[in-house]
Order: sequence, then C-alpha cells, then structure tokens
Amino acid sequence: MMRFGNTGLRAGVFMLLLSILILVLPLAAYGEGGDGTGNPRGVFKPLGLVSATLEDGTGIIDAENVPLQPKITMRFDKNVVYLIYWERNKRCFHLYDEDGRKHELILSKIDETVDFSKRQYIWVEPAEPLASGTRYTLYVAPDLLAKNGGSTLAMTTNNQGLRINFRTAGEKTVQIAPPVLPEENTAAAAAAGSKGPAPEAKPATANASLIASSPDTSRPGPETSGSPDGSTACSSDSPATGEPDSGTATAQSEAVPTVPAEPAGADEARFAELQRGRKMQNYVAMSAVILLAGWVAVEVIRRKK
Amino acid sequence: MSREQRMINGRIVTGILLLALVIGGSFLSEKVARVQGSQRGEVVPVVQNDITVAYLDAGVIRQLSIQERQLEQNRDGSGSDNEVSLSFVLGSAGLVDYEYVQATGLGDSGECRIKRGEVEGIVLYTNSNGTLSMVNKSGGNQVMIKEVARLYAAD
Repeated sequence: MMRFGNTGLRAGVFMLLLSILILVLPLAAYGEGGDGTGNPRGVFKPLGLVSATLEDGTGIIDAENVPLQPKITMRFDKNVVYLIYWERNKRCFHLYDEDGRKHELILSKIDETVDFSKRQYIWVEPAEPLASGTRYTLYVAPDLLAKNGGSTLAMTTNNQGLRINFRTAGEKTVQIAPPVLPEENTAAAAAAGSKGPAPEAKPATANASLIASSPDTSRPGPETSGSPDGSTACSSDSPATGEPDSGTATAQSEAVPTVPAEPAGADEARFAELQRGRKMQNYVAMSAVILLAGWVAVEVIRRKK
Repeated sequence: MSREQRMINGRIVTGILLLALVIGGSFLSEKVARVQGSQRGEVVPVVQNDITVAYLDAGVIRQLSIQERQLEQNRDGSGSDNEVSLSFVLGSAGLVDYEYVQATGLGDSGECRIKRGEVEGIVLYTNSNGTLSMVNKSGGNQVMIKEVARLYAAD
C-alpha cells in the first residue's frame, strides 16, 4: 500500500515536471525579437569572427594573391543572418582599397529557416572585379548584431570593428592614360592634382545570386498579367499569361549602401518589451531548474534511505 | 532482475519516449501552425526560385518597421509601426538578385507583378486580423492586395 502511494506520488511529480517542461520549451523557443540569454545591459556573450576564408578554404586574413573576384566566406560565432537585423548588418561591411576608396560589396546569406546550419555565415564579394596587385581592407563595423539583439562585434574588437587586409593577385597596373573627365569638371580635377577622379560606382552586375537559390532553371514561370509599358501589373481575377519583359527589366545593384551605418538609438518601447520578455523567460527557466533539482535531490535521498 | 530495477528501466524508457513525443510534437505543431497560417494569410512565405527564403507575419513586419525607421531616420518619418516598405522586406529576406516580385492574394483577392524598379513606393501593412496587405503609397495609398498570401521573387 505504501509502495503504491509512493509510486503514485512520484508519478504525479513526474507528470507535474513534464507539464512544466512542456510549457517551458515553447517559451524558450519563442524568442521574439531575437531573445537570447542575458539582458540588454551588457550580459550578452560577445559576437566574434570565427574565420574568413575564400572559396577554396584558404584564409583571407593578410592573404596574398587573392583572386580579383573573391567570394569571402565569413563565419561568426552567432546567428548574424536574422531577418530582422539583416539590413542593419549589411551596412556594417565595407571594402576599401589602399587609396581609401570604397568599393561596393554584395552580401548574401542563407536564411535560418532554409538551412539552420548556415546561420553564422555571411558571404561577401565585391560588386566589381578588384584591381590586381592592390591591397584591400575589408572592414566590418562594430555594430554587427547577432540574433539575440545584444551581442555585437564591438565586444570582441574593443569597439574598433574588424579589419581584414589582403592583397590581390598579379602586378599593380599603372594607369598611364588620363581618365576621361566631364568637361565641366576638367578644371576642378586638374586643380585637385594627379590622383584623378573618384571611380564611379557602377551598378552591380547581375551575377550576384542568393546562395540559397537553386541554380535550377526549370522552375515554373509565374503567369501574371503584364502591362506593355512595364508598369506594375495587378489583376484581381484570373491572371493572363505573360513572360517578364527582360528587355526593360534591368537588374539593379543590391550592393551595400555606401553610407556607413550609424548606431541607431534603442527604441524605448521595444527595449522595455524585450526586457520584460527576457525577465519572464529567466524566471520560468529558473523555476524549472529549481524544480528539477529538487526532484533529483528527493530521488537521491529516497534511494539512500 | 529485481522488480525495482525493472521499474527504474521502465521509467527511463517512458521518459525517453515522452521526450521524443514532446520534440516530435513540437515539430509537428510548428508545421501545422505554418500551414494553417499560410492558408489564413497570417504567415506569408517569401519564395525565390521555388525555395522559401523567409516567412513573414504581422510581428515580423512590426519589427522590420522599427528597424527601417531606425536605419532611415533621414526619410520623411511618416511610417507607422504597422508598415514597412517592400524593398526593405525583400532586402531583409536576403533577396539579392531578382527581376520582379509577384505578390499573390489570399483566395481570389488578386495578384500583382512588380518590377524591381517599382518596388520603392510599395509597403506591406499589417491588418487587424494578423494578415498583411500591400499598399501603393506613391499611388495614393491604393490597396493593391488586401490579404497577401505569398511573395514570389523571380530572376
């Protein structure tokens, strides 16, 4: 009788704990706003770079003979591709040559919903081929933010950001012929000295593709109504057939904006909301841990008896 | 094997089975929620070349809206928490190279094809029922799609 009573009690405790765990698990997995451990007051674990490699796996940090169109794989130790922060993070990447000129970059990611194992990777490639035999610096601003909303690159770089230097392959070519200048700028450019005009930022070529995208071209083309002048086409009934007008559609650059990222001020409401969520998560998790520990202790004591 | 040992073994097996059940159930419930949300227009998949690259819902749109306003403070600042520009959404989803975007409405509520250069004036707006509508702000706040079900980017 006593045995039955004890077994029932234990089963009851077990079911209670299981129920708590079932409640805690979805809460822990909820993570709205990139909730993670810690709080916005600086208890977040720091975000750091794990590696920066070329396609063949060789490191690019201080590398020589880097291809002129390198595709750099940057791996961080946290999720840096979170949808909410991706646009912000994209603005943290800048490429400068040895003369301090800025070059456009194309950044790509694989969303965590597509491949969770790639959440720490960002692929960086220049929008245009680099000059041969030239030193470049890939700068990653300290504002790079992890999914938890608090871990930044500033924590591991002493608020300096990351500088990756490399040198492209080949010999540096010296431009002998003077660049063609617009007529009205000729005088000003001549007065500025022999450096020449800043290189124009050309639109990126259309070779940039999302890494997650399949190269498969056999996808069914969506059929929609198309307007002849290329304007936005909407239909409220059955769609008519029509292929996209490849002649008028120009692939524009999705390159990183050249405006450097400004540290954005924390939105107070969102900040408070995040903090509340984190506090609640911490309380629930702590309660669950205490209950589990208590259960283990009771079991151990019972067995000893 | 004593009765007590058998009992302990039984409990261990039961525990493992329950854990497997909880994990499996979580995955299943996520999938069911995603499918049901898609059918109701509360979860909008962003698809590129038949691969879903992101899912959007009202909460995501609100957070993206905050991010957009933080990043682009020098804009007109007229946006609200419930709207975000389509270009920002597509950029956040990681769409790098596309020619046009096709937005499909829930049921028979229509569809739109928007070329890349025309994306700028278009916003996604959260409705009170958790669905998203597509509004052309530059076209006098014309509602293009009342309840968006899917965004398809093609190159």
